[in-house]
Amino acid sequence: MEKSLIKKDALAGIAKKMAGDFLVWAPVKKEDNVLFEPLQKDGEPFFAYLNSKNAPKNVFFPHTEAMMKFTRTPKGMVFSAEENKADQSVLFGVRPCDAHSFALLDKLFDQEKYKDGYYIAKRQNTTVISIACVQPPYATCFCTSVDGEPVGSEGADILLVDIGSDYLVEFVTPKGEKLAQYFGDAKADAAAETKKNEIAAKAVDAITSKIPAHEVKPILDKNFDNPFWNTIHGKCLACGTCTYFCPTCHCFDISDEVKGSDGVRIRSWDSCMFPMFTKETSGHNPRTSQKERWRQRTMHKFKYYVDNFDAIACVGCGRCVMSCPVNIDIRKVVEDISKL
Amino acid sequence: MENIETKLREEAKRLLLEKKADVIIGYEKGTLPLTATPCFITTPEEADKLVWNNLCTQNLAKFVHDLITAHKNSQKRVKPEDRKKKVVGIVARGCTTRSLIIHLQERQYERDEVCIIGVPCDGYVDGKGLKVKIGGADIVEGTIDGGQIKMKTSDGDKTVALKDVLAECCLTCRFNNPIVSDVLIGSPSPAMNPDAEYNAVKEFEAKSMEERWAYFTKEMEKCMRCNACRQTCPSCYCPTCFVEQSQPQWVGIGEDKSDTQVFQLMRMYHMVGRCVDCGSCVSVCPMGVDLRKFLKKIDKDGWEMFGNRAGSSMEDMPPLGRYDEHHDKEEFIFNP
Amino acid sequence: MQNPYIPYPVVVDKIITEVDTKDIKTFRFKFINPEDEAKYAYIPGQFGELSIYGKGESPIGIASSPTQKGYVEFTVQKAGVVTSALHEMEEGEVMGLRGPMGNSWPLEFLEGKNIVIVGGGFAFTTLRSLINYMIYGENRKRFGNITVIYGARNPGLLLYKDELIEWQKRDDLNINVTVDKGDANWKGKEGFVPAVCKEVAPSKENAVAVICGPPIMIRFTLPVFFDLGFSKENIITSLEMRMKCGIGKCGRCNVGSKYVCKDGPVFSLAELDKLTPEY
Repeated sequence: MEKSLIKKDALAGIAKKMAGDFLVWAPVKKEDNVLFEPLQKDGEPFFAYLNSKNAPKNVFFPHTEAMMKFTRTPKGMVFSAEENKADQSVLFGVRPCDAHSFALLDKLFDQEKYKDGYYIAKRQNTTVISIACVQPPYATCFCTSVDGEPVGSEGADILLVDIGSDYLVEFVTPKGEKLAQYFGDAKADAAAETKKNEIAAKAVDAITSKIPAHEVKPILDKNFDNPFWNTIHGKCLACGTCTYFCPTCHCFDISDEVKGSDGVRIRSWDSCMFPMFTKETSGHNPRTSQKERWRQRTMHKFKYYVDNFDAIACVGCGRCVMSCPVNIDIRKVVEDISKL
Repeated sequence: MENIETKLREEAKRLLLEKKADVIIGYEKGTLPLTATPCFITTPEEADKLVWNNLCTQNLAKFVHDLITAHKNSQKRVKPEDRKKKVVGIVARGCTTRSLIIHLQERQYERDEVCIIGVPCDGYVDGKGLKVKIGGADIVEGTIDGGQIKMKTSDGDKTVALKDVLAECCLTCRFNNPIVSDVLIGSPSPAMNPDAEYNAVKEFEAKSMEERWAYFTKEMEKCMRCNACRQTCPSCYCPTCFVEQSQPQWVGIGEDKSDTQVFQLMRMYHMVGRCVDCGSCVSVCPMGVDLRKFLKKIDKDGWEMFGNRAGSSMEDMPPLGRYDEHHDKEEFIFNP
Repeated sequence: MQNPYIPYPVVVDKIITEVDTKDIKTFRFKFINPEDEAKYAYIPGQFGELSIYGKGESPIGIASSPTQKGYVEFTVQKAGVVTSALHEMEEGEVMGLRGPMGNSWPLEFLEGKNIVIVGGGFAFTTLRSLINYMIYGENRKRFGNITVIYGARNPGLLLYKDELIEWQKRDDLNINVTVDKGDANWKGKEGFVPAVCKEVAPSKENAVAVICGPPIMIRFTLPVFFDLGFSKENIITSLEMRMKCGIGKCGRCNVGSKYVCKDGPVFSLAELDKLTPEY
């Protein structure tokens, strides 16, 4: 499909217009944080952001979601309803790294066998609109080391690229094309396309933080017992900040909650950083200390996911780097592994 | 600060060489601009990594508890006569020493298991506040010099006065110099402004109940239950937190508002007489929840009703931990 | 398409208290919707998530054999929140069942071979499923000699006591039941499982050992089989890990790149050697 052009100041208007027709998730400024939240009627999207505090994975994989309901009967509690619906929606203005994360999460939640209907329903009913990073938002961005591109469209349905006074609008998928009417009639010419390509190349060069993410795979294959694993975790607080902010972390817990005679089975985010994550009823815990948990997190991203899905489970957004309360820097961890 | 750093490194080296400490917990330069991060020094050579500046945020007492507990657990398999004590050294400012006092009062370890390297403190930078001050720009480089923070940011060069971005808890700190120490480095820092300690709480108390509740619920809605506040808190050392107990289950694990509120409320109430206002929970909170407003209220009540300031001296026992050895008939309370 | 997170509704049809201490019971479930039974087609060695609304779920190995039609059985020890609630249940009550999950005992691989089954304590459940499967009707011909070595701490803790007697009557089964310590009425073997394995000394020729039990038993039994000349390819076991989803998504039961719930729980020692020792 032909690419469009829109004026840069038209962006918020388009998001708001869409919000009149369906659910629109957009970056919203809430006190000091920029978060992806449903755009309210009188709400204003905040596109002057570097990247959102939270990864937008919550759109498809919310912190807490109902899986089913049950109710009390004379025979005991019985299953009463499946909670699996998704409204038509748009995720407006994610960064390419975050859009890339959806393609990675798809590999896990949308497998041949065992499809995760909760995730898939939301994913299928949501159109993802990315805004390319013409400038790297943060000095900690390292998307180019993990198969990402600052002007990449992986995982997105529509890609917007700032080419000066306009955004070049690229309809990446048929799902994206369906929203073409919101972007007006101005078609992009060859000059706009050339400009975009120049910008894309420059943007790649502007990402200066690099990690040897691919190089560490064969090293990890052989170094499960390396004493190196003793060196990361000492200061780790075992909080879940890195995993909660990570666009690709997908571990969850399932639990039941009952109020009166009605109950709901919920799934909520869990974290391999939490000591309780793998603790068995017997008291046995296969990952006995934070050392094993850090090894798990690192291995999962740079080895296990590669083994299972042929992809690194990291998009280089740098949220874990910026948010870790004790500055455990995954870039340094990977760098150190590459030297083993 | 340079001078203090040099002395700190010298002392750390000496303590390790003289086997006065098996490990020293201090701060080193972080990987991000304008950060320092906890580190563990076990050899004299490593001591040169140590830094002491306004970027050293977290209360390191938490790690003392962690290390000694882990060591004791590892000694359980060793014959009693072969068991060894581990001495943990720690770089401690005023609030850190208060936490150590609480640990000692609560009999978590013995005084000779910790070697306290006292350092004077004139406050640390509130990292999140600094970001807000520069309009959310990304800091690429930064230095602190002569009370000024100079930065290269994604939005150009910026300069901010240090005093404008110190953590709230530091501005009104009453105990910025170590209360106990084995080695004291440098001369005491000038007092902060403790007279204003409870100003923000008083202002909050003056509000209507509805307003206070609205503020509380608004702040709690930011919480995403990552547990960073609990994990960094030196006073939060329960082997199994009530949040993780399953039989019975006290709180749900999801994002339900009331579950989050109960988690935070219960944790705060566990802090009566035990919160030293080190600000660690606030500094680690990724979502910027204003925990201090409520913790400081509890602290104020502790002072006004019981004359207690958490960890201010070995004798100043926390109100909920005061027992009279001669009149309490339950012996186990004093000799568990 | 079936949502793998939604349990099939089942009714507790029968509860059998297996042991003297009363903390291990076998629960027989019938599907409330008859068509669900066919959907729940399983193979010995697989497991299910027992789902008690309001309490949660617990992954438990299937103790019945697919040759037993009309119901599914699970033998459950009372331990955590869900299993405690299960033990409080009465016949006629309604609950949920998810699965079947995981791989299974490698039936095709076992066919035509001599099978040595070694079980200890409560971990005998999916082995029982396998035994009942192999001895059912025409199935028996597909397998060579079947030797069973099963041990419990004391006679009161042996599971499936009636079946053990029935099995002992058959001449196409070599059943060795042992207890660590007998009582006044015990006439069988006394001794730990590894010692009995040594005594029985099954031949490695065309044989596969299927071993399931507490870690301490496994630790001392494996050397016996190595001494007997069994290769790691021919020793098969089943792992246990904390699980939630049961379908390889929630992320807690992985051993290296493999998920115990999805890629396991059954692994040969040769396969385990390739994984990380984190279980």
